Amino acid sequence: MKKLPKLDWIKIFLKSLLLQVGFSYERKQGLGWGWIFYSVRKELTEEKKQEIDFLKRHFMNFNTNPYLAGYAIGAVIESEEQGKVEKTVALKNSLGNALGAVGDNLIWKNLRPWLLSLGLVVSLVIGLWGPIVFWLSFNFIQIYLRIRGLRKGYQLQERVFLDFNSKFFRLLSKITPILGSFCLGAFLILQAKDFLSLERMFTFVGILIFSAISFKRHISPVLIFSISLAFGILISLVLKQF
Amino acid sequence: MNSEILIVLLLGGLVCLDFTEVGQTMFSQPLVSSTATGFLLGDVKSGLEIGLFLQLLYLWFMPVGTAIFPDFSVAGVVGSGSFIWLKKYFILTGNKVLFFLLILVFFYSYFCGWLTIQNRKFNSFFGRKIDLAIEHNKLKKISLFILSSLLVSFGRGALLTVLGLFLLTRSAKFLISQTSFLSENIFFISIPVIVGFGIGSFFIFWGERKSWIYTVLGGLVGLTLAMTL
Repeated sequence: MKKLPKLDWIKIFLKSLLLQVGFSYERKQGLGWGWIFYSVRKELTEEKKQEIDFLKRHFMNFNTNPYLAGYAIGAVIESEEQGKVEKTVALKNSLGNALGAVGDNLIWKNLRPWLLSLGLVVSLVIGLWGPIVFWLSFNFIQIYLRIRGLRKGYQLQERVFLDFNSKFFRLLSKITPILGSFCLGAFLILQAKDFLSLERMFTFVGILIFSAISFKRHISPVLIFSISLAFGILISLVLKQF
Repeated sequence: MNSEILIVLLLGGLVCLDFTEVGQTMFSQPLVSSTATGFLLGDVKSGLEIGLFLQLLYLWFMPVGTAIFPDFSVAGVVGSGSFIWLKKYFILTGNKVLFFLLILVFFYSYFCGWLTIQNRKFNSFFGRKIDLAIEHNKLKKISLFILSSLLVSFGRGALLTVLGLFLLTRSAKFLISQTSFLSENIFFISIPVIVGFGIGSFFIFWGERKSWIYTVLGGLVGLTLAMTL
């Protein structure tokens, strides 16, 4: 049984930031995944034939949410250390898809919109700090998730999903919609105070309601944007007549 | 101006890498990239101003699925660069500029998104090359192919940004001169339209009734802030 030296984990972490390198529709993050394992091939294999097979199985199709990929990487490294080739391939595929679904919900639908709305509110209140607050807070969390993923993936292997029941994740998924809605309300009022004239307030409220309903009904953003612009110009022209 | 083109070229390449290939640190979000562009071009206030509106245009976007999507990374740099250039070199500001620029950037970002898809299709070539390198035991070549794919993405972002900057600045200037008969007052609606569209798009994430109470609470805090500021 081989064991990956501690220093190589730093290499793995840094290379995991490049998981999406060479992203293609044929093998998705396959090249990035292979590139991560390429750097530790010598540590995890004993002879040339093993090394070639190792690279062949890791440069294959793979897809997941990049921020939670650490869980899959950690689990697969443990499996490689044990020399369980079949388990490695099965783990890689099953964890990839499932972590993708969890990550899309956690990051794209909750964390990113919340921190963006926070950044927008801060921008309106204290200017330049807005982008800085957003960027730093997002990266603090994403780096933590990547490191935690590597550690927990290695410890828990196929049971990594137990970690998503932990206090940290329960708290994260509970507070992000609350804080997101809160920031949205604050942003809405801070912006609306600039639209005190009748025509601007009418346009703002009309388009806000129209786009909220349209986005909920999954209408194309291009169409929503075009209609919003046309509506705005129409309102402007009509109100100018009176 | 030459140094500005070089700055934008590098920044365009970097945000393009951040969008997909390297780190996904969200530096490519227009709020951040536009402010950075403004800072590097010497007008951080304008960068932040346009960045805020551009961010509202793309709040709805989630990188899930493979349909044609807008590449907001390039759009952030192009939008803020053009906004600052129009102000700096042609003394053009105001709602009319903002109106035309935001429309042009929005549609240009879809063109950039289409090219991103072509780039991703092209990346299959590197995949095949890597397979061959493994087959023929030329493992050192793998690093070269990975580096090449990074360079292709960087180059795409850099070139699209510079092209977009010239194209959008010229087009916006042309549209403004052709619509000189329209009063600036008509374009007063630009900001309410963008803000209404942006805030409306937030409801894909938190549209449930149970979270409305927090929106109202946030609104009250916003009101307090608005009154004290």
